[in-house]
Amino acid sequence: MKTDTGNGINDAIDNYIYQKHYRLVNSVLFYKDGELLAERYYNKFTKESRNNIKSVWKSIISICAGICLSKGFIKSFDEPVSNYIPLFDGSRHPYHQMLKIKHLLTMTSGIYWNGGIHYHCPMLVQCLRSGNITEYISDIYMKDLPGSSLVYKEWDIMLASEVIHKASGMNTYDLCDKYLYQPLGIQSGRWFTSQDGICYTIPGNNFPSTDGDAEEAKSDLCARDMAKAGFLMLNQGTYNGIKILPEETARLLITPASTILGSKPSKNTKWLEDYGMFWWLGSDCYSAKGFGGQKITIIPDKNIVCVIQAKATASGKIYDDLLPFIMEYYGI
Amino acid sequence: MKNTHIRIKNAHIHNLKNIDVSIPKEKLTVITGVSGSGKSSPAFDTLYEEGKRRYLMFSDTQFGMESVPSFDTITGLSPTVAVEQRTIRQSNPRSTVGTRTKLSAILAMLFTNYGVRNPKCDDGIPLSMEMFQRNSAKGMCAKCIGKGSTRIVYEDKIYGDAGQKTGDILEGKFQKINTWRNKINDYLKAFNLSFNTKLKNLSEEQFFALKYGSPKTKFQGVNSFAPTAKSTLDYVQDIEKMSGRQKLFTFTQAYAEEATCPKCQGTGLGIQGLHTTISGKNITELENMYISDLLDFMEKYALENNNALAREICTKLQCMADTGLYHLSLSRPLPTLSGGEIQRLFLASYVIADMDSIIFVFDEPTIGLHELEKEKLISIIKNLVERGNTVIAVEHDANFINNADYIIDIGPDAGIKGGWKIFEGEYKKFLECNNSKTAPFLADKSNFITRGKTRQLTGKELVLKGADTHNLKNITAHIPLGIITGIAGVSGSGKSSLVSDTLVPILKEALKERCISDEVYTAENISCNAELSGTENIKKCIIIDQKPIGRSVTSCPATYTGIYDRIRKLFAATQISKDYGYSIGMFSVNSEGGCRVCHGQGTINWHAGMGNHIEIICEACGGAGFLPETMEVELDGKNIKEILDMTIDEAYIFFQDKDKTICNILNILQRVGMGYITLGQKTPTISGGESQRIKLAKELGKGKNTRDILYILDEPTTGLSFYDSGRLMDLLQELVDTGNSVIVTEHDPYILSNCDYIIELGKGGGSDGGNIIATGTPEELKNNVNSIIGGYLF
Repeated sequence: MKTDTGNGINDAIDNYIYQKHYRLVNSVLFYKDGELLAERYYNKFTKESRNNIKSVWKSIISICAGICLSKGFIKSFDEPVSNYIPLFDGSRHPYHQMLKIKHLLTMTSGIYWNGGIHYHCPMLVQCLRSGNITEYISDIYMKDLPGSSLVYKEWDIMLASEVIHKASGMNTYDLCDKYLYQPLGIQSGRWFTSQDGICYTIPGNNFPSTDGDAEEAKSDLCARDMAKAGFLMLNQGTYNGIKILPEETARLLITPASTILGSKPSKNTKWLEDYGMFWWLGSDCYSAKGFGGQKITIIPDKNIVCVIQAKATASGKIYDDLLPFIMEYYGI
Repeated sequence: MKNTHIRIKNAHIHNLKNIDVSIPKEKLTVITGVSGSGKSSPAFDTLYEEGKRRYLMFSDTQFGMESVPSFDTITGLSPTVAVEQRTIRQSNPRSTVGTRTKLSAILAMLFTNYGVRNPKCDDGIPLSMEMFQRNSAKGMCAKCIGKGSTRIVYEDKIYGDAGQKTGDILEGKFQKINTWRNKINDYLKAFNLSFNTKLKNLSEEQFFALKYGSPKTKFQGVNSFAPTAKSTLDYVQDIEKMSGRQKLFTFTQAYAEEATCPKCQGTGLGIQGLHTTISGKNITELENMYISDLLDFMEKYALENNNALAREICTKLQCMADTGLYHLSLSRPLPTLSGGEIQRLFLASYVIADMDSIIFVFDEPTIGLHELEKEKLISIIKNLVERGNTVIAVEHDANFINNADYIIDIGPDAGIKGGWKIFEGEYKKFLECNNSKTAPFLADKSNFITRGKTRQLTGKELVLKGADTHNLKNITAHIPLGIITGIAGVSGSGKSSLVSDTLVPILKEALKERCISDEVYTAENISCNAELSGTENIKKCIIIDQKPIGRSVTSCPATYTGIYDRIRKLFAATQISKDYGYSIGMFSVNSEGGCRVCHGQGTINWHAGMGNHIEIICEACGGAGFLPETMEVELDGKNIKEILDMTIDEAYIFFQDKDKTICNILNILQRVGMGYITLGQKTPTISGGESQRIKLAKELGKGKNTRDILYILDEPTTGLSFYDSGRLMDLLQELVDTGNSVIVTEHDPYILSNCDYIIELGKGGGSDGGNIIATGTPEELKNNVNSIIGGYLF
């Protein structure tokens, strides 16, 4: 490992980002063995600046689901969704009878999703404007049998958010704040909650007299707080000695969907290997990802946590080459 | 110097015998001739092709494609638009009258801007156009994803008996679905079951997996393939190949159905689209209205609200109504329209476009029109001419020919006996032209009556009570048997509703496998309320519609009629085939004998940009579609390709001493007026009327000396010249004389005048129709003041 002399790594990252024209990157954090080796901010960002988390929120919800399990709000991820959302008891579609919480967490509910993995799905607009999100989702065409096909979509995270709400009897944000954000000292605003009680951080301009961007900004996190979630996972449910999740639950969240489902998947087999419970899995790492390049990467074997934040726009990129560049700099 | 004429010199494509033609500009010119005489060759294959080629070349849209010249020179060309029936026959199943004319989009715009929202659904956020389009994810119903229907499985019917074994379901009920074999085995293995396990012994999970599948197995559940009646037919494809048991199953034992989606009430629209209205109606209700009704509705709305957008919609609707399309609705899928209707839809869009100096080439624009409607259409076409356009129409209709400024007659006969220019000039002089096969019919209408007098009613009849399908007004129809009955009425008056959608489904239910048709059964057309009596008087019913014969692009009259199989056997039996070991597969383009490059089609389709396709001849096989070694085998000096290029007339002579069965079939084809088509003519180039006559020939070829058969035909003379119509009529008369019955749905006064009995529906189309306005012999109708067609009979 190279000995850091002065601003070496900082200059190297700055140069790299300059050369690559990564103008939208706002923060880059690199931790090795718990030590913050690099911390760079751009576009007038500081360590207090909060950035959109986008789908990193899904991984936060994953931790919340883990909390529900450990607190006994949920007995098991094998419980039917209808235990908490009775609309899914099968009366609207027979497939709902076998829809379990684990299917929501692994994006394998089988509910039809039209187009794209981002927030611009036209069906989502219809859903948010329907006035009753769970009712709308319960009526959507069932494309696949639950557990048979992994399709990245918003329905599953919305329902997961609602299951946490119903299981705990708390607003989903309140649960997150009480059991995760406050113990870890994470600063966040209250998540947007629809009139029918569902916490969903990206409402868009689909609700009257609601400024979608302002609502979404409430869920923003600063880079160092994002890193805390990373360390919680790296340390298997414990952060700075505070136990948030039992070890086995923390491990369960990053188990490949194929293992969780114990299934013989017919489609998207690769995805089932690469996705856990709202966490993305790599060969030696796992990460929380969000639109526009937001990312928390954890490499357990090397004891690394890396956070990247960027302005989330349509021209946003995925900055997957940044971490390898830093690791190469240190010869890791 | 300004060209006053379009001049074609030495045209020789197809059977044309090096003819010179000059067509006056800014006039209405009609090209006539018997079917197969080559009358469409100067218009479509020469003039239009060249006009298109030149236009595309100078506009740099594409480079020129060299092809064999089919003429020496053409002068006086301007941009050419052709409206053929055949090329637009195949369309995207999602496109509708509304999407084709863009009226659906304009309506959506009207709803977006002026729609009245239900306060319960009004969230204060502006509407967008997509919310009124079921094909858009923003507008579609989430439950049925825009289809308007959802699948319902009758679980009780399948699983109700808990004592039955899994094998009873997986093997017994659905044994024909072999594609599921592997998946079924996978299911049994995954849950350690056998075909002998009883349903009541299955665990909840196993039973669930049997019904819906399970991630533990590739099996997707019985429900996913439990057949609707329609899906069984789609699977089996050829209803005639089904066993009696299969047919019984198909018609009575459906295990699932496509039912109206409960969430969107069949509209396919999402919440906002469904609950936004114009004068109390949502967009789907408007799209389902007949165009004439919608026009009234929109006119009222435009007036009350002084709405410019609504006025624009009215203008376009008026154009469609004027072209005789008032009985359609905007939601009607294009593939369900007849060739004539599609052509008029295109015509309407040209009229809306309001251009001049264009050459329009039409292919029998009056097809499927009532005499009243023809007059309207003729005035629209004349209007196009007055605006400075040139219209050239290939046409048989007397009224239309009468209105032409200039007439060109090609003939005298079909195929190699045709292709000469018989006449060119004005209508009056044409009547004196003795060489023409068309002129005598125009000069003296009595030439068309095939029998001296009408037959007496036999007393036997079919009685259809309480028919209320579509626009039918709960009517009772007495359809006499043992004679030729014509069903008349303007477009949309309910002829098809009465025959195709009421009588035929009930006959199918009553006669089961004794009712033969290509029509695919759907649950909705059997749900008519009418009652039918008198079926004991018929042994068999043969329904002959205008749907294309065969489904593949390589199907042709020879394959459809079964002649091809026999020809292949003849080829395989030759000495050279035996020497080389060629089997019958060697003589089929769909099998080993087909060219590997073009897959037996003989041509390769190039996409030339801007939605234009150009067919070029396959270099590998030189357009034959066969392998070279196949072509080397000869039967009496002709190879397989040469035989397929023979007309029916030529082949009849060729096979005279070779195969009696082939000759019999060919002879019947000749008798239905199809002597001019070639054995290998590709299905897409065969018109609806031609398909129907080929089907008729196939049925006639099967049974001889049979009695008490009811033949139901839908506008059989479509596309036939007077001469050929006469021959077809002779054949129908002969059928009746041997003790059968014929029902024809027809507009053509010539055919109707030859019927023994006419049932006329009307009086208007759409909601104005649906009543029986007159019945009786042609003579009686002529004197019936209520009858509209009566005035046109002779």
